[in-house]
Amino acid sequence: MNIEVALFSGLTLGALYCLMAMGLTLVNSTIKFFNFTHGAILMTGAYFTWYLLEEMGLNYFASFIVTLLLTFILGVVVQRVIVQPLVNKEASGLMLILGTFVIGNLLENSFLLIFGGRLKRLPTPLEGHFSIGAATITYHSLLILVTTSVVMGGMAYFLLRTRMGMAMRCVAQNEQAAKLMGIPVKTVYRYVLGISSLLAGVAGIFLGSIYFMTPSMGGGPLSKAFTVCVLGGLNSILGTVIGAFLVGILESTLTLFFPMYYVTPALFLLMMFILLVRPEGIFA
Amino acid sequence: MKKIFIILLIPLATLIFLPVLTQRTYILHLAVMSFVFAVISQNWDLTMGYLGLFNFGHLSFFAIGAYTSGILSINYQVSPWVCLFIGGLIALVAGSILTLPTIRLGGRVFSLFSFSFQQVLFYLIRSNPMGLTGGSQGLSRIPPLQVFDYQLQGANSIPAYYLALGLFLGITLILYLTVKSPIGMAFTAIRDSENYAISRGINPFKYRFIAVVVGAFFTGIIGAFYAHFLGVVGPEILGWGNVVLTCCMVEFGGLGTLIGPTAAAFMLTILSNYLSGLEAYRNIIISLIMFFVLIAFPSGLAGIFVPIKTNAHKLTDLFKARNKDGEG
Amino acid sequence: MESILKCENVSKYFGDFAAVKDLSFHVNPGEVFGIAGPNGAGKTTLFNIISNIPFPPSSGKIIFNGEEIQGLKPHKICHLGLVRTFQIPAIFNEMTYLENVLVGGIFGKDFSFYRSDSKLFMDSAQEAIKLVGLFEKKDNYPKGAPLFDIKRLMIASAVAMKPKLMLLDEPVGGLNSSEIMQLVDLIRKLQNEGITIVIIEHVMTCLMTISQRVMILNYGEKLAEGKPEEVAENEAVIEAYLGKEYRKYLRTG
Repeated sequence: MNIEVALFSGLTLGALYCLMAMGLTLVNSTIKFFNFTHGAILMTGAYFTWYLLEEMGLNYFASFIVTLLLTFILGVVVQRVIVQPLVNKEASGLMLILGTFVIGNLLENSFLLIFGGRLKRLPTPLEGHFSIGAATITYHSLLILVTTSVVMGGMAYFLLRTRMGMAMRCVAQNEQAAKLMGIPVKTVYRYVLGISSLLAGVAGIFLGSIYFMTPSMGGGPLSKAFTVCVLGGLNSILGTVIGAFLVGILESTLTLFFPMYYVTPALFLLMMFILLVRPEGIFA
Repeated sequence: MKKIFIILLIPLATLIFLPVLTQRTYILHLAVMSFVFAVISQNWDLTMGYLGLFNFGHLSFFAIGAYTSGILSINYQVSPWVCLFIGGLIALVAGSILTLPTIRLGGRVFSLFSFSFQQVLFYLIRSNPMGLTGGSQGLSRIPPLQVFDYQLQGANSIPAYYLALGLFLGITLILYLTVKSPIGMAFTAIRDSENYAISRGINPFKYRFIAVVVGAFFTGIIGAFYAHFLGVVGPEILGWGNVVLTCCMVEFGGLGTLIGPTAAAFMLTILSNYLSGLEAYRNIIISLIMFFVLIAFPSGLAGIFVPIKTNAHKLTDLFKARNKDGEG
Repeated sequence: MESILKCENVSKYFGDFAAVKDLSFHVNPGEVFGIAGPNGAGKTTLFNIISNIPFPPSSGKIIFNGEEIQGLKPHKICHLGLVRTFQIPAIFNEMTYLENVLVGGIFGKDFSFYRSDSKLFMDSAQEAIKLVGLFEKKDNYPKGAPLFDIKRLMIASAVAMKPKLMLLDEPVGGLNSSEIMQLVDLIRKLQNEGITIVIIEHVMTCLMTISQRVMILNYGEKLAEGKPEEVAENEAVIEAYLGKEYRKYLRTG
């Protein structure tokens, strides 16, 4: 394990964190709460793809696309089932955290029931690796990087160039004003949750192919995603991207020297420190 | 209000005479567990319900109390009774560490900060620093509390039952008096409309600190008791399962009341044990119940009997970071 | 006569924008001091920086009863006897009328560990709630209550704090003419109790009749300060704000 490999895997990790954290940032900046179903939905992304690949025999690309659709729909369902009812009852942000907490738990346990707790692994479509200099790069990591860039690009296009994207940005900045201008806030919420879940699903698919899949796989990434968000600014998209890659690279270089056991809490300590010193995030 | 006290006399009498009414240690054990979780939930409600501050790290206090007490009594032969108190004290210090730096930074920062605090603690315990915490296996053979010749450990120990009952009643009483006093009024005012509360002479930082620290102290004590009562303790007390369960109790019972979380603690402890054979189904059932209660009664079950209100503007209040010279 | 409140060169900047610019004025003890000016003139900002809710001034001194209070913790400023109300009615929705007023009574001075329904607090709260005429409704909850009730409640909870000076921010906004007259009466009663009042108001009839002295703000700066009749005659003020009709009104009223 040398520094180039660490850097590259840091990039890959960063890409994953970017996907994971972006959804949280989206939800937090528009609906203004922390979406605790995020981890569970990440897990569903992995399991959907697994099911489609293994049980239904679709090819990788098709499974991928279908999973995107399924996780999007799942996000919308979450919005209708728990988020909107609570928002309608004028519940506080605390309630929404609790509510999504519960739904996330429900999802995890349901999938545990359906698929069992045994570890699974998502196969990757691109085996093999090549070398650049002293570094060995797997095609799979390349796939992750490329896909993430495409997905991020798509999201950027969506936010900047479409009407719904603009509506989202308006709601994030001033919901009352947005309502007064005729923006359908409920629909915006649905799209927000749908897209954020879609992103989580993609992250899940990749995580499932690098690490093992279990129904409770979402917890760790969720916590890491929070760290990224805090670092990059909970309301800033660019900040989240930068934060994600920073954390990814930091984590993979640190694991060169320290056992994983200490790296994770170290990251949390970093998050605590940042919260004290610059709560808006480094790049807000 | 007086009606409530009369209604409560019946369950109270039942609890006092429980060891006489039944010989089954299973029931006594359940009761003690309910007492423990009731204390945890009540104290969590102090910050979550009365102040509207989401303290993710509340169970950390429980773990700190339990592990401190266990470590001190196993390795350093400190008397378990003293350990009870020290456990509470260390938890109190932890509470101060959590609040003091973040107190001016707003509810959102506090919730994230306490969240990471709990994560760090969890990993710390699991990594078994200096062999003290026993890692994933946890601590075992924790010496029991002793009164004369009686060992207060395990459900067949009647004195242990009464100690638990005593702690539960005592802590509940103290919390009740606190909440009925001007301190409780300040909590409600701050939760309701913080700037207005400030304009009426209330210092929100002081009361946030009081809520967290008092809650931490009592939770630490009951954590220490838990460790000595069971004789074993492991990192799963900090795990997601426990967090969800306890969170349920607070929310299910009713944020901002004392009796709500207490009743919910009893119900959920019993329910959870009853369903424990069903593993995954158990969690699903509990989650489903939580879900329906959240939707139907966002203020919790107690909200049916006592007016509890949740305000819309707290959607933004919780997430406004207070800058020193910007907009509040 | 030593002024009870004095602002010396007080400013508040938001970035480059000066909401309050180099403002100096004083308030005499026991008087009603009116502040008027067009929208955006900085009146509420002035109240905000005096009471430090939610921010202090960017520069300048604020002297209350001989003590410098700029930037002091807001609840400490309350304890010293300077209390404010808000333009947008602020109330504790989760408490009854009486409890709302009680909060002011209990926390208005340095806190002591009495029971919240101890006679001490109850008495001052009941006095205050009687003063504003809401005693019969003391056990109601504010949900759905008429605006007039809420405005009076806000004032009652301020009165319960036994203030020396009250900052009233647009107390009659949104009220009908009969309610306005009742509120003017209430303000006079407060003045009789010895409380100095600084009032921001747009309703000129109200402001000019009850104030002994008046200050007009525009773009964060002082246009004029003095007796209402003098200010009404001030050319700059008339140009900027009042209009000739008001001068006429003052001669007859």
